[in-house]
Amino acid sequence: MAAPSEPSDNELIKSCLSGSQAHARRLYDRYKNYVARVIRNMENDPEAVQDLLQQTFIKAFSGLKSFKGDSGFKTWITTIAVNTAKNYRNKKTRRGRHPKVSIDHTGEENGAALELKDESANPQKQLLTKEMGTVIGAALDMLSEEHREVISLWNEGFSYDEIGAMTKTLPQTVGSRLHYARAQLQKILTPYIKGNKE
Amino acid sequence: MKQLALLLFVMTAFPLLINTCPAIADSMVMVDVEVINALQNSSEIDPELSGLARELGPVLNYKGFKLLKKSRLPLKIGGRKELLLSRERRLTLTLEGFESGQARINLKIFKNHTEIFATTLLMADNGSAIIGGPELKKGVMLLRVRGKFDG
Amino acid sequence: MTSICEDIAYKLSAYLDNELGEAEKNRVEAHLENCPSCRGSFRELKKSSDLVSARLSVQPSVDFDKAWQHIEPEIRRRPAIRRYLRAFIVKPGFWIPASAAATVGAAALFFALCLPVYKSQRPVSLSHVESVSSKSGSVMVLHTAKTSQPIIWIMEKSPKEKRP
Repeated sequence: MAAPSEPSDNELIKSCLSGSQAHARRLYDRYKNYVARVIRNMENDPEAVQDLLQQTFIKAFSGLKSFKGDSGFKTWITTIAVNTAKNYRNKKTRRGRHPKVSIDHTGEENGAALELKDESANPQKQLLTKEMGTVIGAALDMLSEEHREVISLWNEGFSYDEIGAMTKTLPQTVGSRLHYARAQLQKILTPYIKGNKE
Repeated sequence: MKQLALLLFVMTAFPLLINTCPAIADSMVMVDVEVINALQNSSEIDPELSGLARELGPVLNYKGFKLLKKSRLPLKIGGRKELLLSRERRLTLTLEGFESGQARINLKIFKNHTEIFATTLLMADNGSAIIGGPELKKGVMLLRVRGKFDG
Repeated sequence: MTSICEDIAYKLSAYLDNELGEAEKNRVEAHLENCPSCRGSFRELKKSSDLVSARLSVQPSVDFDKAWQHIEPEIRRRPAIRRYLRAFIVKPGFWIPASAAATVGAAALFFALCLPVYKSQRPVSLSHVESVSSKSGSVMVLHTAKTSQPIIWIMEKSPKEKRP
């Protein structure tokens, strides 16, 4: 007999609702890396990521009954993750604990300059040195919440329409936010990129 | 201590010895099969399914329960009965025998002549089981199978 | 920079994401072909965008098992997943060995059926699933809380999943 295929998200959700802890774990394993990434891309504090991941999954599993299935589980849990991270950031900002990382402290003296010679020969991840990662992380941290949100969701492959639906904005607004977010990031990053002239 | 153990043994074993469970002597089971459409987007419950809805409410994510069909099938040992569930699905029931006061009933669901599901239930007198999951209309199909022993 | 260049510069981000309509996309491409300045801007935009994307795609280090240790008890306590339900999954074509359940069931049946004193106190409705199998999907067996009535849930594969 052929090996059984992986159950779909909806099948796992159905059995989670019927009490299957094993299938809850399976759903968690399916999305944990993705959710961790979305959260980290919203909130740079590594200590907060694990806590926010826990909060996201607890909210998702507790609210499974309200999951309508119209938009897919991935979209649904993304919305929860983004809102959980936003709430955390808002609280942190209100408490005045928002870390302002200065780009100046992570500049070229740390070897942050990066040579981009032949993009086609280098997978994306190889382009990123540790130092450059720090610079970009700091640059992302300087973005407004809306800009950070769209750039994080865009990176996960969502279309403007999908991001609009998740953030309750028009696709045109998503496009506009992405344009300004990129412009700001580009402004910060260009001095660190060598060999970018034609 | 020994007396207490003996007393406990007598208390439990004696009724077992003298009270032959009625089902053991039975040779026939009257099986009621209810074909139910469980719906998520409706909260309408057929009055005769209100008990079922209350019991399943906390377990399954369905609010509407509609009785589509109810059939009574007398089953003799070794006997097999068939019931059409939907256009493409049918259920067969076979009473395999009795065991420790329970009827051993084998159920199979076929979809377009292919067996898709099989189960063997050990059913007590007046006991029931629910089989659900196959998609039906805008919800799922639930089968409530109840067995009554008939001497 | 001309006003056309300004207009194109605003569209480069959406062009990069392939989010422009066909006509606008052609317009941007035609302009990029003829304008070295905008071509340079687009290259810079793409480079910084690739770097940001690479940074965003790095997997953060999270102790997922530890996180689950916090999640699991919480979801057990919440109503969506009922603590009192016992559920176990059967892969297609496999039979559940019901020895443990049968032992408990036999004891329960003994009290329910054979001892008059207990019989009068609870409804005789205990049934047990001895075996279960499905050739077309997974099967789950669980029990209702109140009467412990078995529920067998067939999770059929969707037609899409059946395709090789």
